[in-house]
Amino acid sequence: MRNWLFLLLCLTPCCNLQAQVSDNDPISLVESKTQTWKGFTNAKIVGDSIVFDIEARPVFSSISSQILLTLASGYEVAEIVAESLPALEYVDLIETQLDGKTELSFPPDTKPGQYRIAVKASKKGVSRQAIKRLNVTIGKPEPGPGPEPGPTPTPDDAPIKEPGFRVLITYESQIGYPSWLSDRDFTDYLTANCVAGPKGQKEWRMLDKDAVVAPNAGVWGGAMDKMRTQPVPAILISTGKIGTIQKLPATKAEAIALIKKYAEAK
Amino acid sequence: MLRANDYVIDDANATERSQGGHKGLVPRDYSKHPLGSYEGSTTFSKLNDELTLIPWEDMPDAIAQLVADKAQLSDIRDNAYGSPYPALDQNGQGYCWFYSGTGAIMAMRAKANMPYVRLSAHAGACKIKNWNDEGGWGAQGLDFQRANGVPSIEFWPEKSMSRNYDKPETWANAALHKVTEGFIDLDQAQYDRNLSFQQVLTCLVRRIPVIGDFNWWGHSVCLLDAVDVSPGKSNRDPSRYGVRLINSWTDNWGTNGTGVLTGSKAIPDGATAPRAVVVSDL
Repeated sequence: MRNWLFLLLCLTPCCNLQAQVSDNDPISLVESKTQTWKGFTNAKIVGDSIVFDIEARPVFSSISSQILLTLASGYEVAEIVAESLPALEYVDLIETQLDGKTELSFPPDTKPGQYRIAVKASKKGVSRQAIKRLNVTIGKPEPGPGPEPGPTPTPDDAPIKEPGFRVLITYESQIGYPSWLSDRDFTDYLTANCVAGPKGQKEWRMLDKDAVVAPNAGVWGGAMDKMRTQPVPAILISTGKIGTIQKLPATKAEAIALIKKYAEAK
Repeated sequence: MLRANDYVIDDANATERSQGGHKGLVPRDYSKHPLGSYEGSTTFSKLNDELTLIPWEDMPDAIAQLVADKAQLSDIRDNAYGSPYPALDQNGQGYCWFYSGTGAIMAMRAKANMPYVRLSAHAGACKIKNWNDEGGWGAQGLDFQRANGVPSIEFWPEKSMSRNYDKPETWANAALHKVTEGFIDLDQAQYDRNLSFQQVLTCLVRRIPVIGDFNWWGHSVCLLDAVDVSPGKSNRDPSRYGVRLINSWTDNWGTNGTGVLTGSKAIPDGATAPRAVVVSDL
């Protein structure tokens, strides 16, 4: 029996590597990702040839991040800290010098997850240190370069497949959220219409878009994964059969009308 | 506006009304902790750039809207679980500085509509102070809450000083109740982390609880609401505003465990504002 092993290596710079620094913003951290695919699904051996049909897709193998650190003239690195989220466990980054710039990368045995890098730099004669932060996801597969994308969810696909009426609203806590979100009549409406969770709490949540979700959080981890790319504030509504993910309506009345449309169909 | 049953602590009655329980905020002993002896962190910076202030001119209307809509954190405390969840109880020990942040985590869970979990603040306080009954300050507790979280009382019984509960499963549970983001001036040493009063009010109007340390009281508490206590004063006069707090002296203190600080008594000497916590159902 013949074993065929083949690798497809795809370098995917995910952003523009041109760093812009100035005395007002003296630190630049730019991430690029390298994704590796190994082999293909649905590969067949015909004679001495490997044949892929139209359904064949590369098999994702790994993803790594490189972070290019650039400093403005006169600045020197005072400290580089990388820590996991939410555990805040330190990670020793690998530093490589490239043409006067520094490339930071995570060790190969870094566990998949979210990490935060913080770089502190100082300049003689400037009393306050400059700090730049960057959040990085390690090991999370990105969509592979398949021959064709999968089905695109339509507005009426259920974002949460589990039965029951659920609502998730995401916002950016740094800039606040619409003042009416915590209004008693609005939260009462959600409580009256949503299904009860395992501990009896009704299944609606209002969360920071970057919130770290614990594995025990039921349906909310998967739901948050779908919401993270949405501009905030955003709303997810699911009956288990139909639902929507979209921008949060501007007013409480519009939001209730939208939720009601799905609540009546549950 | 003040509520009819608010337990108000002002400049005139503070000595009398601030009593009734143990505290634990310690003034800085510079002989033991000289300037520069506590390091800040690199993870947050440029606080004033990150926290967009609500202008003084808009403050009364912003507060009034929240009152009308029953949307303050104290309203959320009252309604999120059908009835007000009980205030914490530091049990006559000097751990207020850890209870204030624990109260903030519980308030944020209620705001997000996560299931009710009563947290055991004694766990982290015991760890930090090596099981000694010692004072501290709110930012000290918050640093631990960012790094390790707070376990539920199922894993560390409330008020327990036993080392038996200091085990891996306790801290695995605590990690479900961590603070992940906040307005925290980490460029400053723990002792010196503070927010301006306008920043404090801005956070509260946005329903972000504030851990407030008050040297006059020797106490650290969780602030829930901005309160427009003197509507006749100028919008720009800070003494127009007070702060409603939830204490850690059980529901028997004040109004169901809460009180309102006004005048100079409302201005914290140390303040940090945790604004996001781990999402968990347990």
